[in-house]
Amino acid sequence: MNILRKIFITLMVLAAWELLAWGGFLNPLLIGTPSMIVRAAMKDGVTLLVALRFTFMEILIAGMIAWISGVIAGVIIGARVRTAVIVSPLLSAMIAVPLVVLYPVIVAWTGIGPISKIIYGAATGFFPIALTTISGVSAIDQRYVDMARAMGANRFQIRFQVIARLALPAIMSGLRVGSSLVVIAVVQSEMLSATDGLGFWISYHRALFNVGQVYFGIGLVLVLAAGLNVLLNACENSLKIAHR
Amino acid sequence: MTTALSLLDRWVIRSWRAGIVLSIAVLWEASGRLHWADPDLLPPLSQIFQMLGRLLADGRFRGDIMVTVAECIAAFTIVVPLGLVSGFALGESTRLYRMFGPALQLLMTVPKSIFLPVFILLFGIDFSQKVIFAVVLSYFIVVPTGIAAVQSISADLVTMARSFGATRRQIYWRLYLPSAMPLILSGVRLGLIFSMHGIIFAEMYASSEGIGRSILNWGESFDMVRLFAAVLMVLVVTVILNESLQAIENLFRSRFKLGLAG
Amino acid sequence: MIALESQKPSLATVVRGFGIEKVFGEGANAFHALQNISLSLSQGQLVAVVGPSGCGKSTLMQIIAGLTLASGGRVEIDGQAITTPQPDRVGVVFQEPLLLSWKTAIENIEFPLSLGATPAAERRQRARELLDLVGLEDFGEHYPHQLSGGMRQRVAIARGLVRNPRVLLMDEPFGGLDEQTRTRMWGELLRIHERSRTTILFITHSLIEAVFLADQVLVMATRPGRIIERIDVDLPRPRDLKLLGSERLGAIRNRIWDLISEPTV
Repeated sequence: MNILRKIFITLMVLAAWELLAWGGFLNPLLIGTPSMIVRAAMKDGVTLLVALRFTFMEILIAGMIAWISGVIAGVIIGARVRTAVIVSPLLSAMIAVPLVVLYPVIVAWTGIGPISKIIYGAATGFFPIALTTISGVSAIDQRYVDMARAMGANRFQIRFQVIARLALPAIMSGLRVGSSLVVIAVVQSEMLSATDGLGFWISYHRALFNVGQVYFGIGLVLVLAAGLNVLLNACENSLKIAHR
Repeated sequence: MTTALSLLDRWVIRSWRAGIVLSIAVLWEASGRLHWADPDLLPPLSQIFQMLGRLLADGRFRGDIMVTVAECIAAFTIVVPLGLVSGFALGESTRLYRMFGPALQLLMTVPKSIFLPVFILLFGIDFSQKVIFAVVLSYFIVVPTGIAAVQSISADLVTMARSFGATRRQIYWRLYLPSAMPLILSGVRLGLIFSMHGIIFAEMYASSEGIGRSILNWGESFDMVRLFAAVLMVLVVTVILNESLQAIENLFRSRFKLGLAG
Repeated sequence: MIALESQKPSLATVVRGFGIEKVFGEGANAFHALQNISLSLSQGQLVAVVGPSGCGKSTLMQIIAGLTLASGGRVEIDGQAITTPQPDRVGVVFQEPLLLSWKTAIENIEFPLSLGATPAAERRQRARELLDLVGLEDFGEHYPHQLSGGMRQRVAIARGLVRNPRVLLMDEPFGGLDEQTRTRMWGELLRIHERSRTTILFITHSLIEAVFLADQVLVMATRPGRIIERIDVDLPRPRDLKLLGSERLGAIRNRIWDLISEPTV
């Protein structure tokens, strides 16, 4: 019942939107109407969907690189109090900085293809993931480590079986933050200069005042963000189950 | 883990950090001079510093800095009070939280930069458009800190104050504000950082002036020396701002160590 | 000849409770937290309230402190009804010290005065007096996180006394302390009470604490919360810590224990 109500309300809003534009209350060139979006979808939908996949792949690869390198770096740095204390502020400083200024540098080095987006996205995601991993590892009760050593575990076993597991909640929250930053980075960089991808096409259509395509593209980005969120939740849940 | 470090310890740690930064600088310079990497792509650090000096003397560059700074200040002064007050309201009233909370959560997961083209369609590419965009971007970061600030206040502490006859106003000013200060300060800091992010990105995307625009232009024309000079300047300024605000935040945090029982 | 000697000086009644009731919920779901509670404390008396968990002890204290309204009956202090917090007549000490972590010990003691119109010099003077009273003369400039649990609670007690209230209410004030500190605090409280002669009503889970400290113990039962017995503790004052091992104290304690642990009377 609740779902039906929500659908009804959404349809009403869309209809009102369309009528307002028709009646001249909203400038269709600026605001756009639902019918324009539908027409845009039919015309350029395929290109945009391909762009969706393109962007998704960039995010996935950049994310994986950021995750893996971030967690490894975090575990290594966080293992010793000294290194953690020395390095952490440097990493958090990098998060505070608008890394987007580095993007033109990366483009100058690697061109405007997907490689630049992946590198930039991975760099953006690396720092928060490493930082939260470090704090997760540092917060581990030393007594667990001592206990493991007393039971005869060697350094590798301690690191990956004890430390990694105990730091898991912190690592997971770091992955969440890191992922959202990667998404933002990839989308932003595509908007600035690219050959393909949703950011690129949205900008392209904006320049041509194809309002319908712009909104459709934005809608696809929202779908992408939602999809990635679902993926992340699934990851989290499966990790939680596996590491009971 | 954070045990009290002796003074000597603290300086040792600081020197290690400085050492890391210096080594990077040295390697950078060496790479430029010894051609480890293509010096056209990675110019030596000294050359970059020289260029920065020249740029700062240049009127046009300074004009760009002024524009960017003005935009950042405008966005910051709007979003911090707005975001914190919204956060306070949501944190205090469960009714409001239930109404707006889910919408807030939703908007936080969305990469809001994607709406910039819409902003441009609506507002053009002038000063106010960039400021509005930056405000919208950072708003959703500041509000949660406002909520957390209110929620960090212990209900027991409020009961205690009431038992001693404190009025509502007194509770707000003497209890809420000092007790929530660290989180409020972090809201201020995040508001500043994300305003800057938003402004610079908006400038890079579509603008006729500002540091972001210059950076993008120099990148496109492969003028690496100027590009690095501007990038380095932005990085250094942001780090200094962040560290100063963080230091103030930490100062308050250490005085409010155990918020509740004290 | 006979009459004069048997006459004891009558002490003024400070706190009076008449048929206090507190009901939560209504109709069939009504929960009688307190039913027909009457009590009377005279000047300088130390009265303890004990009872099983959920018998309404804390609710009773909240009502006397003016933090909650009773559903029925009334509370009077010096003949005047209590319906809202009256900080000049009632001082409260909670189970957690609840000190403001950004203020020093002496600033915390001043806190109730700073909410009113007392001039700064006077505030500071008064706070100093109480700092000395609780034995923390050298710790006025310390911050709460620099003080031990027992010291923080002493600051809270000083704060509760700073406005010279007619009665000091204490809700399990030593509950969060370890046994040794707790025992020491009993001695401290007795010493403070000796010097300030304040009327004190305190709630506790510890029967030994109640018997050792109080002149009278009010024993409560639960469901509904009511007073089932008032026991006068006639142990000699000043109370020595050695009394803690005495048979007399143990006997009173056992009597209370029997009263509490009997299935609903």
